Amino acid sequence: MHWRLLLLAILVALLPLEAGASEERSQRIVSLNLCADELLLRLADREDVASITFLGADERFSSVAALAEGLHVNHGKAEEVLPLHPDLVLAEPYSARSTTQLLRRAGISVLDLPVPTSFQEVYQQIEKLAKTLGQEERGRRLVTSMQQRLAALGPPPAAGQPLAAVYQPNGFLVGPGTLVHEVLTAAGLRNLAAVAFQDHYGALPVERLLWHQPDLLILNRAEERGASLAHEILRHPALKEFFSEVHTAVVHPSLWTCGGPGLVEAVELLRAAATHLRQAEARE
Amino acid sequence: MQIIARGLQVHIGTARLLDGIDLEVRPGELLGLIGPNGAGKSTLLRHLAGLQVPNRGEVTYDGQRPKRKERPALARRLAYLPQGVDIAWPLRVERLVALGRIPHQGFLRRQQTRDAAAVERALQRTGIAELRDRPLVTLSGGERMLVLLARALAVEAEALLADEPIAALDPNHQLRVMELLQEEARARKTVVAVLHDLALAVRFCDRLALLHQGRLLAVGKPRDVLDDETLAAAYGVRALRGEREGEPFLLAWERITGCRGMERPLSSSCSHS
Amino acid sequence: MMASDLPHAPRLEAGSQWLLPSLALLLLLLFLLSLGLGEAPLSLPSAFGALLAGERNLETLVLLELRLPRTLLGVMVGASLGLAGAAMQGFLRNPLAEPGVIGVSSCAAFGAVVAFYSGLSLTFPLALPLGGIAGACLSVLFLHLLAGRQASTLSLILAGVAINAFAAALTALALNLAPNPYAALEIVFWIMGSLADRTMAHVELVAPIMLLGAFLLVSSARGLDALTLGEDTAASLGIDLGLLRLKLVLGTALTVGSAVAVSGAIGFVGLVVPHILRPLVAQQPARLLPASALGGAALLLAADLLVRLMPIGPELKLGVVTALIGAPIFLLLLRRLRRELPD
Repeated sequence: MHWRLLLLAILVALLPLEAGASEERSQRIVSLNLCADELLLRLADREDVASITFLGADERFSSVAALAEGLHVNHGKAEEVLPLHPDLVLAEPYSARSTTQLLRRAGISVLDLPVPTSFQEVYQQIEKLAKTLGQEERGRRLVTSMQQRLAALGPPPAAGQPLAAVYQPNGFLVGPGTLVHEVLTAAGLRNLAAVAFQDHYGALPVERLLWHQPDLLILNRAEERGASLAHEILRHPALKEFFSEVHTAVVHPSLWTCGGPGLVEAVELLRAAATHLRQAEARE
Repeated sequence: MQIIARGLQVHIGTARLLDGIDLEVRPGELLGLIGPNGAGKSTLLRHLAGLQVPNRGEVTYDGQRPKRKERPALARRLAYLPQGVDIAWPLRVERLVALGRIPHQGFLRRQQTRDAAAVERALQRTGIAELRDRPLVTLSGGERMLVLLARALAVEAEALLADEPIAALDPNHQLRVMELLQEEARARKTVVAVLHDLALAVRFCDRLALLHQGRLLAVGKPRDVLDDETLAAAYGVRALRGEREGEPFLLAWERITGCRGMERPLSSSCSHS
Repeated sequence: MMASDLPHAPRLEAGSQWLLPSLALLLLLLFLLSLGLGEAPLSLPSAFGALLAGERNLETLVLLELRLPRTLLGVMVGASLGLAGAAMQGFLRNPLAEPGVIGVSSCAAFGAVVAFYSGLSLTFPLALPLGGIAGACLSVLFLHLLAGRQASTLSLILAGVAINAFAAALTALALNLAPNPYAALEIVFWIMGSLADRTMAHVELVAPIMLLGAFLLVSSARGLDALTLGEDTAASLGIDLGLLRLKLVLGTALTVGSAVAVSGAIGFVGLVVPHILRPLVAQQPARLLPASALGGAALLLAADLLVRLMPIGPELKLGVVTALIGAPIFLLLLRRLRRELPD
C-alpha cells in the first residue's frame, strides 16, 4: 500500500498546481536561456521569477546580472527545474532540447523564444513575451525607449562607411543575419564578415584579417577570468601594431548577444567610434 | 700495467659475490679466471676493470686508485670486453671497430690518421679485414666475436680484460682468439680472460686464478692450480691429462658421482672416487 | 701498413660530408617558402625591399609579426623534436623511442596547461616553458618507475601508452577546471599541436632554453656512440654514465618541454626523422644528432606549409599531418623489430 501512496505523491508533486494560480499571470517562471533571462528580468516582477540560468547571473555575459542578485540559478537541467514547480518555462528552440521535451511531457508550459536576428524581431519578441507575462505596459515602454534612442541618433552617414571586423575569441567573425550585424549597420559600418564569408559565422586567421585592411577592429570581449588560447589571439602583437587606438573599439558581449536595450547602447558606442575615426582620418 | 685487487668484498643483501679477494695481475702474462658457474668470475673481472666499486677493498692500477674524473684517462689504458654481443645499431664492421678509439678522441670524434691506423691494425690482427664493410648482422657468431675483440684491440691499451671471449665459437675461432690473447700478453700487455674451457685455459694461460663461491681457491701455474683434488672439489670432475710438444693439456673426462662440487666447498668426500 | 693508412682516414668520414649541407640547404629553401606562402598574398621580394628601405607597411607587418615567428618556431620546435628523438633513441638503444611515444610530450603539455590556464604565465611569462619542462621531467620519472633501467621494447611502449593516457586525462581535467570557459575546448591544440598565430614573444621566450637543451644533447654525442656497445663497454671507454643520463634527461626536458609549451604536443617527428636519416649517417648515433635536428626542422616546416595551403576550413592541426606520416612508419618499425627480435 505504501508504494502506491508514494507514487501518487510523486505524480501530484510533478503536476503543475492549478489552484491558487491567477489566470493571467504566471507566478513561477523559470528561464533556461540567457536571452530569455534578460527579457524576463526586465519585464516580470521579481517575485515571479523562480530561476534564471547561471549565465544570466554572470556579468561577463549578461546585461541584467545586477538584477539577478539572490535569485535561484540553474544550468538548464530538468532535475533543477522540476522541484521548482514552474508555471512557465522560457527556452530557446535550439538549446536544452532534451530538457524542454521532458518538461513538456511533465505537462509544464514551455515558451520558445528564438534568438532574434533584427531589431524588428527584437521588438516583436519583447511585446509577445510581455503579453504572455501580463506586463504589456512594461513591454511597450521598453520597446519605445529603444526606438526613441535610436531615432535620436539619426541615420548613419551613407558615404565612406568604415569597414569593421568584429573579432571574437578563436578568430571568429560575426556575419550577416545576426544582431551584431544589425548593430553594425545601424552604426553605419560595413561588416567585414559579409565580404569574407557567405555564412553567419567563420574564423579568419590574423593574416587574412589584416590583408582586408579593415578600418575598425571591434573586440567582442569582456574581462577574462584566467587565460585561454582563444583570447590570446585577440591580443596578438600584429593586431596591436596594425590597429592603433582610434581604430579599435571594445564592445562588451552582454550588450549585443541578446535582444534588449544593450543593442542600442552598442549602436551608440560604435557610432561614436566611427565618428571619432572619421575625424582622425580627416586630420591626417 | 699492474692491476692489484686487495681485500675485495662484494655483496648484494646477504649474498656474498666476492669474499675477500687478493689478486695481482702483471704485464706480460695471460691470466685465466676460471671456476664453476656463479663463482663470481664476471663480477671480479668487472671490478678489475674498474666498472664497479666494491663494498670493501680496492683495486689499484700501477698503485693508483683513479678518481671519477680520471676514469677517461684509465679508459685509454684499459680495454674491457664484456660477455655476449649487445649491439644497438647495425653498424658496419669497420665503424664498430672504430668505436674502440673513443677514449682517444675528443667530443667531435674526428677520425685522425692514428685512429685509422689503429683500426686497421686491429682488423688485420683478428683476420677480419675483408669483412670491414659488412654489417654485423650478416656475420656468423664467431666472426662477430672477432669484431668485438678487434674493437677492444683498437683501444691499443696496456691492459685487456675479456669476459668469456670464446663462448659459442667454433674451434677455429676459439683457437684464433686464444692465440691473439697470448700474443697480447707476449707484447708486454696485461691480459685477463674469464674462461670456461679448461682445456684451452690450461694450454694458453700463463697463470690461472680459480674462483669458487666468491673465494680464490688457488692462483698459480695451470698444472699447480688444477690438480686432481682441486678439480674434484671445485668442478666435481675427473680429468685426463697429457702433453703434446711440451704443452700440457687437460680434458674434463667424467663427473664424480655423489659429488656436487658446485654447491659444496672443499669436501673430503669429493676427493675420493 | 703505412700505405694503407691514408686512404682509410677519409673513408671513415665519408657519407657524412654531403648530408648536413644538403639538409641545411633544404631547410633554407623551406624557410623561404614558409615566409613567402600563407593566407595573405604576400610578395617576399617587395616585403624584403620595404624592410631594407626602412619602411613599415602591411607587408612588413605580416612578414615580421606573423610569418617570421611561425617559421622560426617551426624550425626551433622541429629541430628540438628531431634532436630529442635521436638522443632518446641513442640512449634507450631503441629505434622506437621518441618524445611522443614515450610520453614526454604529453606530460610537458600537462605542465604547460597548468602554467597557462592558471594565469601564471600572464604575470610571469617564463612560467609557460618552465611548466612544460617540469612536465617533461615528471614523465622521465614515470618512465623510470614503469619501465625500469634495462627497458625492453615492449616495456618502453607499454610505459609510454600508460603515461600518455594518464597525461591526456590530467590535461583534460586541468582544462575543465580552468576558469576560462574556452579552455575545455582547447585540448585539441595541446594534444595535436599547432603553430598558428604564434608571436615573436613566443620565439624569444623559448629560444635560449632550447639552445641550452640542444647544447646538452649534442654534448652527449660521444657517449651515445659508445652506448652502441652497451653500458659496460661504454663505461670502459671512459664515458660517465651518470653524467650522460643527467645531460640527456635535462636536455630532453628543456628542448621538448619548451617546444610543447609554445606549440602543443606534435608527435612522431622525433621518430620519423632519425629513422630516415640513420642509414645516411652509417648508423652512428653521434652523427645522427645534428642531422636529426636539421631534418626535424625541415619536416615540421614542410608539414606546416601543407597545413597552411590545404583548402580545409579551420586550419588542420600540425599533429594530424605528422601523425599521418609517422604512425604508418611507427607500425612498420614495430613489425620489423618484432621480426628481428630473436637476433
